[in-house]
Amino acid sequence: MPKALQKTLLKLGIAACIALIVFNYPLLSLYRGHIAGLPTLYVVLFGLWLALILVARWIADPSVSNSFRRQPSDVTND
Amino acid sequence: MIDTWFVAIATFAYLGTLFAIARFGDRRADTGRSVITSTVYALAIAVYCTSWTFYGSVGRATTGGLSFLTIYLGPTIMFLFATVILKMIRVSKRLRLTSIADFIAARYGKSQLLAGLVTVIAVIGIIPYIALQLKAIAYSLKILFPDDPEALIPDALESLAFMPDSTAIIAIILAVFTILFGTRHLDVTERHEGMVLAVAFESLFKLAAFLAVGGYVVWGLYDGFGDLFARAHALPKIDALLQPESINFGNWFALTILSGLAILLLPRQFQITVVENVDETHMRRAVWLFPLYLLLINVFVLPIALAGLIHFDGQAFEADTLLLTLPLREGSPMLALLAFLGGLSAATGMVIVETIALATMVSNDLVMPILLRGRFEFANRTDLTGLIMLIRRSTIVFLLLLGYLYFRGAGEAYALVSIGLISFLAVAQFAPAMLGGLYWKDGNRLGAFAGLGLGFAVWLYTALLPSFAKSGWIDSGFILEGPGGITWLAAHRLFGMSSLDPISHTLFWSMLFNLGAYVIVSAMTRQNANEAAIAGQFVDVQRSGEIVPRIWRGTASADALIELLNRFLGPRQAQSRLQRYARNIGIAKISNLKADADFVLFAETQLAGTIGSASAHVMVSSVVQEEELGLDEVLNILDEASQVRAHSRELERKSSELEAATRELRQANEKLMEVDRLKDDFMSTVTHELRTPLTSIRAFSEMLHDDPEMSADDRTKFLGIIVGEAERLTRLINQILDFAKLESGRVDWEVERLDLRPLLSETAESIGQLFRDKGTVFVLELPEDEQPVWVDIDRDRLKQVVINLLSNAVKFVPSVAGLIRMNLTYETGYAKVSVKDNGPGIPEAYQSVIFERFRQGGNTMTDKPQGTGLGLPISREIVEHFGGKLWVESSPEADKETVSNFDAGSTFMFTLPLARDNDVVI
Repeated sequence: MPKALQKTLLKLGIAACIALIVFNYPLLSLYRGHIAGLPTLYVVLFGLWLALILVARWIADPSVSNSFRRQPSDVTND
Repeated sequence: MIDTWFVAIATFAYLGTLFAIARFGDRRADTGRSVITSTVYALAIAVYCTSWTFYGSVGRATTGGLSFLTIYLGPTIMFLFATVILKMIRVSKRLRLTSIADFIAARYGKSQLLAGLVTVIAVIGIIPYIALQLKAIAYSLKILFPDDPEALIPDALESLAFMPDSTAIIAIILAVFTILFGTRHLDVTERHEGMVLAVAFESLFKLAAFLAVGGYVVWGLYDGFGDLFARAHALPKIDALLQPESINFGNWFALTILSGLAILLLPRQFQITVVENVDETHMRRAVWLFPLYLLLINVFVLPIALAGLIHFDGQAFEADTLLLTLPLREGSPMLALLAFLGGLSAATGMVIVETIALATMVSNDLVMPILLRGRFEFANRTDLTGLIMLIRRSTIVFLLLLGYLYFRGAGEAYALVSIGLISFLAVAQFAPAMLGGLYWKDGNRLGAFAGLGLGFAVWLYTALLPSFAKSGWIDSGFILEGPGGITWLAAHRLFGMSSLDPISHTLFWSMLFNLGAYVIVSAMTRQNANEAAIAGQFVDVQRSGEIVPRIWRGTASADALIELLNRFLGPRQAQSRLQRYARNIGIAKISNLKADADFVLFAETQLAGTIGSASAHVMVSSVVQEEELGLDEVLNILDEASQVRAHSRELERKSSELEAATRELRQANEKLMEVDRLKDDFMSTVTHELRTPLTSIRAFSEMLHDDPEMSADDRTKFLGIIVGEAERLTRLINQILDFAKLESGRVDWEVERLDLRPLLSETAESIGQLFRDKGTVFVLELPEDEQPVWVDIDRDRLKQVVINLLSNAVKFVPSVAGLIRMNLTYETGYAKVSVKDNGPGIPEAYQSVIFERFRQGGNTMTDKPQGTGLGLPISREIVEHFGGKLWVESSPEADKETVSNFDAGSTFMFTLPLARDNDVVI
């Protein structure tokens, strides 16, 4: 397996472990009260979830983050 | 209220669209332009969200707060462990595995029995789940048309005696769809791209529907999130529901794990994620897009639930159908219709994919083995493809019928409502055998049997039977009191474990028994050779390109194998694949194929795609006389393979050594060339140096020779010059020889122990005439303690060095008031001799240059050379030979203003190590 892929999978695995921790007891018990009128639990769970998704995207899917730059295939046409 | 005909049209239009999309996808696939992009793949994975999700999450949220989220956080986290999924995809592709049953059976020695067990568990666990989807469709119709739940059927037809109900009609349509798009090809590995595209569309549709209703509730019925939550806050109990204190953390964790396993092990998820995967790089998008999908479809669940709680404050209401009842009550029937279609898409997507996945398992791992084993004439037919197709299609109809009957039978019973998580628990039983098989080579067939069997038994007893009991089908006493009053056997309190909720309870005990049995039995029993080889392929699949040893020996006939392929794949398919295989191994004609281990494996893998790996193994074995390989022999084969690997590693090492040697050689060569260049330089300098005195000798000799009348004075003067130049020439040649000797190390050193004091004074004395000729004052400063300064040295060589330094100094001191001071000091271990003059000094730039051969201070091109340019290099060689150092210190800037200042000028210094055993010598 290519080294780069291994590295990507490792990074994703680390993100997964962090997710297991932040989405479970005891950290879960900290998200009490309200933020701007909304329940903290609701805001934090969805916020962390979205953050996790963005991190995963950044790690795993370079084609998305590079989509505004020139693709290598464009360059070869020059 | 909406007109029934409109709903009917919308429903059938939706289903028609699905057919059109699937057809489009298949057409594109047939022409080689796949429509399965990474985005389509990720959306198709969202088949995970069934109607249970679509309607049920809201219901769960009304009583359980945010705990419904665990069902989606688990898969999110599991997808980040992409390495597991990737491994499953790779193994399946390599071995043409097409279902979970196949996967597990193949890993444990292609065991038909194991495949059958997995299939049975899957069917028992999943059929109720399919029934639940049908129920959701029926139920949502009932909500839309409370008065006429059969509204989809035109009244004229309803009176017909054999007219089925609406749900049955939808089930029939689904069966047709599944058969059309799920069994197009015989080879399951050739994927169902049209079906996947349709499922992706369904995912998109249900998401859009849910978001539409969610947006309508939050911004239409209320004034945004803030308003909704503020109103909910005012109601008693609701706020407490949204605080972490209301969460049962153990249950939360258990559900996260459970749903994480389900996303891998549910047959429909395996089908989409693994079997239908076109390109493993699609995982890169699925890893984040699928979780994002889950997030989006859940963002409005809680707000809708809260809106329902506020709306029906205090009254009884059906929480599971809020998605329909809220828009209906608030006068937005079109939105309710959209929600209905969304729920329909969630249900149909699940039913289609799940049925395909289960049908593959049932036909390959239950029906086929029975047919192949039995003495039916079946096995003798020449072309079995039609029959296999028929079996597959009948299985689909049978499974859907089973689901429908279960739905009709169970109806409103508890067994149906709770089946979602109970199904999850059933498929979670595959986890030890599946994941263990991927990462643990020693996990074996007996272990897998024991684990699956025990886990399944615990599941039956603590999850399925209680759900039956709660439906009133059997006596419910055993759930809490235990069968016959044996309390430690109570189904929800096994061994008195009363602190866990039923789901966590079943998860804990079933996993404990399952995993425990798998590990312990695997550790205590041995794999047979064949199984060990396959285990290696599973665990090491990531090291692609490695030599996978073919563990097979026996006699086979190529004709028999080809015949087998013809029968099961159909002659056309078989021929085209055989042709491809033959081309790959460089054989022109199929008839030339030899039945070697490779070919047997090829045939078996091809068959596996059609009839499952276990059956394929049986079929191939029937035409091949395989010799049973002992463990020793297998180990030998493996050993050979590892030796080959070791050889190749050895070769690699050698080649890298060779590269290193080449590099060194190149460097040495460069060095040699540099030396060669230096030698050329040296030669040309030497010739130049020799020619200068020779030229003048010749010039003056010619003048003497040509002019006999020359005056005696001139003659004497010229002769003097000639003698001087001849002496310089001699000196030069001596020094060159000297230097050459030193460089090549061919000098005979006559080392003796000498006192530096007398040596220095003698040497100075010997060239005293030089000082006197130039009128230079010479001062010799010796240490005052009168102690001898012993060094081990060659007397003549040291004299040479000192004379060199002194004569150099004489050359450069001014002709008036020249002063040279030679100083001897000694410190710990070293004697230091310095020769200081008050000459012009040496610019910093020249201070190192003067030690190079033929380099002198000043511009040699314009100034008349005052030495050979070899003195200092020779001196340095000598000093360094005896372990000392020779260097110069000079500050030429100072002499401009203070010509007479003795601080100016140059100081040449050298050190010599003192003789160590000083005392002994004296």
